[in-house]
Amino acid sequence: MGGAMMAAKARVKFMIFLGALVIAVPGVVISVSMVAQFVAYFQQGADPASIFHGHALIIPEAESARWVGTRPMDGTAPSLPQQEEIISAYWLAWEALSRAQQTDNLSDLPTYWAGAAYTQVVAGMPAEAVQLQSHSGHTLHLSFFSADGSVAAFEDRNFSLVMSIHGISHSVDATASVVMTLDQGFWRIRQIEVRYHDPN
Amino acid sequence: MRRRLWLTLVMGIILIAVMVLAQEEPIRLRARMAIHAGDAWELTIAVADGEAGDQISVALLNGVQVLADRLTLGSGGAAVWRLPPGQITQAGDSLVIVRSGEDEVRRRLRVDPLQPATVDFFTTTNTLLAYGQDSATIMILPRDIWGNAPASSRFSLTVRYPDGTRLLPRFSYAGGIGWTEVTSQGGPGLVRLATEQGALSAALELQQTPATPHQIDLMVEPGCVLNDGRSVIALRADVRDAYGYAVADGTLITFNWAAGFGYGRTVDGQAVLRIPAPAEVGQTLYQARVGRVQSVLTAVEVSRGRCDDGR
Repeated sequence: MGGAMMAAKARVKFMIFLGALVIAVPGVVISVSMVAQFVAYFQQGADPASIFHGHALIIPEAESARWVGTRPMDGTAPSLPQQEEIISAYWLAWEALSRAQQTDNLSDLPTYWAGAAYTQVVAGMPAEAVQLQSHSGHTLHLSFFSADGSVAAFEDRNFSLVMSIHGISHSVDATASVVMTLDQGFWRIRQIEVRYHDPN
Repeated sequence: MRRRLWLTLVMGIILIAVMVLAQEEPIRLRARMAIHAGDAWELTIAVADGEAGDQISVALLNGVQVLADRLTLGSGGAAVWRLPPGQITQAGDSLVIVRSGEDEVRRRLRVDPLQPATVDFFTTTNTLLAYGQDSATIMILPRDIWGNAPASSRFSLTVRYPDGTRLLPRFSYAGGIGWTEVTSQGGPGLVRLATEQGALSAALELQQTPATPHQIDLMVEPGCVLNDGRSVIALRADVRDAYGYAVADGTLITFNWAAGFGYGRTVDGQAVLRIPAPAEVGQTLYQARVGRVQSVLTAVEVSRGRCDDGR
């Protein structure tokens, strides 16, 4: 009788041990993982894009934006990396505009817009009741690229914008003449003229 | 009989055409459809089945800004959208979108830029090699008070070279930027450029630089010194490019002699290094060098007694 009680007691203790183990193991794993993340956080350098307020090189999908003509009327043709830098910055400039309209936070705009174009884009803020929902189909035709690789002028033909105005989506097509300059290592839109297409 | 049939058919077609034409558009707009940047603008909207108090949505896509509003229809289903001066500022083809219920109408509004008020005048390089061996791209970014580029450019460009020559190249202009190539001409010196359109002007200068060193003439002064331990000699190198012009200021010249070497930088084509005269009696040879170009060996005479110049 006493032996059976002892055996039952031992079994209960073992069950309690197993239960504690089941709880303790994930707890230890999570704790170690959090400590590792904490240590890794202080071992990493700062993200250059965050400290210099610059942008990363994000090449848009071909259906979103692509170069169609890269031979300028005269002057030099940009190299492939230069084409990628320009189209990336141009794409991100529209993204920044969309973000600014959605959040009313303009701090990202100077990263992609400069000079007269920056003044114009800020003039439309805060864009109450207006949101740029999407932009696509940017087809870039180069008209000028300076020999020192710091000025590019191109036409973005027949791109599409979807805008929400007073909660209703409107799809419009447009063409833009754009001048971008390389300022402190980043391409920025310095001049832009948008021509919305005549629906009739 | 056949004639009557034809007549009936024609009358029927005319009747249908009149009915189609008479059918009223759901939204009618009336406004100037071409303005200048910064102008005030007024849009009159008439909604066919609109009633007083109904709300409609109006928007103007103007460049990278969107002006939007909600208007309340007045009697007769009409409303007026007034935009004061300084709101429609971006040149290009703007788009008016008016929506009433499920009906929507769009119209294009042409916004022309004003006359240029400022111009950025800049170049790809501040210096260029002289003698027609180099060129620079000269660019302009003209814009009006709202930052709009003009549709075309009438900016002139005047280039004055150091040799007095004056050229009037023309800018190519597209998409808001004007550019032209300017090739160097004549010898080193300042190239002055000026661009002008009406009362608006801008200027900049380029430096035409000499070519690389081609000839070094070395002089040692004096040519004879006493070995008194107090004399100083000056090594003077005159450095010219292939066209006979003094090389760029600051060109580093190396002076070599048997017992050592020293450096000097050119000012107006001349580099000078002053060093103690050698102590050994006899001839010491000196040479000046820059890159692969070197002078002939030039000697200084160190005398124990007196030099020929009477010292």
